[in-house]
Order: sequence, then structure tokens, then C-alpha cells
Amino acid sequence: MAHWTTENSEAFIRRVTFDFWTQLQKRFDSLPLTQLELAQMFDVSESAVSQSLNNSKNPTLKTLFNYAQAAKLKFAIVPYEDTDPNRGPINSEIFTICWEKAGRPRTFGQAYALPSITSAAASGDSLIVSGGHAYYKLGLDHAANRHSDLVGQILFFSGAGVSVDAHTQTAITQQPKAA
Amino acid sequence: MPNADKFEVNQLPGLEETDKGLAFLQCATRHDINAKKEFDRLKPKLKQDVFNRFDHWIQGNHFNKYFHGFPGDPRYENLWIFKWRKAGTNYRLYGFLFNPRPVTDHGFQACVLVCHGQKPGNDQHDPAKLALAESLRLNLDVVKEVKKTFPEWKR
Repeated sequence: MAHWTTENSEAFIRRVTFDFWTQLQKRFDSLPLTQLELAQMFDVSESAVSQSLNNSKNPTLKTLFNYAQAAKLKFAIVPYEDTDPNRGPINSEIFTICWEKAGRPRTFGQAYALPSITSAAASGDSLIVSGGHAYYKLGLDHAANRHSDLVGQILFFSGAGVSVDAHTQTAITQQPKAA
Repeated sequence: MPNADKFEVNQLPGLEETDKGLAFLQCATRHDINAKKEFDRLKPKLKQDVFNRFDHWIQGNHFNKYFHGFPGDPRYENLWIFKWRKAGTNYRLYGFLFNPRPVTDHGFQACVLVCHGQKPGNDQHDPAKLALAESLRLNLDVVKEVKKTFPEWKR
């Protein structure tokens, strides 16, 4: 069964903007900023702010920018390939979580240096992860029970020097790749 | 006298199933079981935003403004609501959480939506609707239908 957002472009866009506003609502909840203050900032009515945050309008990029800036956030438009056309869009917050867990890479070099979860392989009592210039050996004793955290743990190995698991603070053995 | 109510549990087409699945309880002879009927009556844009709430829950997101359970309240600890607000009125879909696959999918969680409620102004839940959801969660005929809709995986 195809996901409901595959029905038409409006449904897909509505889902994507909903994700955006949800992230912003969460952010505004943590800031000392009221809807009235937002309305004054944008010179619109308070109900217009409420409508925007509740995804009642089709926002322009300029509107998204203004609200993101008010929330002290930036935003990206991220095209990506999903080989399953029947699935819905990945929530934008998931991209944010991955970027933050990856140590917030700012360059292609930093991004490409991150090991991929697909290159990890279990070997005996360890998980071997290929990353940049080295393989990283992660003891399964603290990896096995937190499978969902595995991406986060592995992504903390940036480049050749880092050898401490961010969650458990346990050392990870690093072995140089053969030439 | 035998219970004449015939229950159905139907998944909502167009939603993904992850470690969570969502379905509506329906019963032709029970007008208080109205979640699906009221959901079907929503205008398209609002229905999409309720779909969005379902998606967020299914993907494991947390946001109390869209949905939540009642942790810490033993009366309602297995109940769940989806909610939205429109034109000063608070709307709710009341349901319960249940794992119909205890053998083959220990972590799976089904949300079965039961009834709809709306209240102007305040943001309070309706105890009668919560009680209805709880009573249906414990109804063996309902449990049987939930297990039929979300069967154990075949080995």
C-alpha cells in the first residue's frame, strides 16, 4: 500500500511543511517568545502566526526563513534518493538528528570522512567499522543492546583520531588500514 | 444473553507500519465507537494534518501537542490520544495501545482508535471517552480482532 503522501503533490508538500512547523513549534516551546511577539516581529496578526504554525497556509520560502530565523535556526532543502517509492518522506527532524550526531560536519571532506553504517561488520565479539583512514573496533558488549543507537555511536568516529565512544566513554581500538 | 456487537479493527490505508501500527475500531451497532466515522468526515487538509500526526507517532517522534499517553496515571496507562485544535475547539481521537504480537514481535505497539471527542475552549480530556477506550481495551472480542489485524509473524 502506497503512503498517503504519494497521492498527490499537495499531500507530500503538506507533510513536509508539517514536519518543518513541528520542529519550529518544539523550538519555540523552549524559547521565551510568544505568538504575540512573533506577530509583532513579522507585522502580522497573532492569528496569522497561529495559522502558520498550525500548517494552515502554504508557506513561501521567505516565510519559512523568517520563522526559522526567529527561532534562531537555519534550514536546508534536502533532496535525497529513497529506493522505496511507496514510503513517505523522511522527517526533517531525522536529518537534523543525524547531522548533529555526526558532529555537525560543515564541509564535504568532513562528511565523506564519516564511516557508513553499511560498512560495519561484526567479527567475533567486536564490530569493525571502516572510517576514513582506519578501521575502528567497537566491543559488542556495549553495542549489542543499543542497536538503535548504533548509528549515533559510529558516527562519532570522525577521521583517524577519535577513539572514544561518546555514550559510554569507553575506548575504541583503532587499527590502521593496510596500504 | 450473548453480546451482539460485532467489532472490526481496520488499519488506515496509506500509513507505514514500523514497530508501531495504527488501526480504527469499528462497530455498526455502537454509535459511541465513532473515531473512524469522524475521521472520515474531516476536510481534506485537516485530514492530512491528522495523517501527519499519525506519521509522527509511527516514526517514533514525541510531541505532546499532537499525541500522548497518560504515564503515571494507572487508570489510563494503556490509553493514547491524538489531538488537534481548530477555531478554538480541541479535538481528540481516543484509543488504546496494545501489543498483539507478544511472541514474534515483543516491541510492537498497535494503537487502536476508538472514539472522537471535541470540547470548546479548555484542553481537558473527557473521562467518559477514556473510560470507554479502557473498557474496549479489556473486551476479549476486541482483543481478538486486534490480533487478527496485527497477527504474529509466521516463522
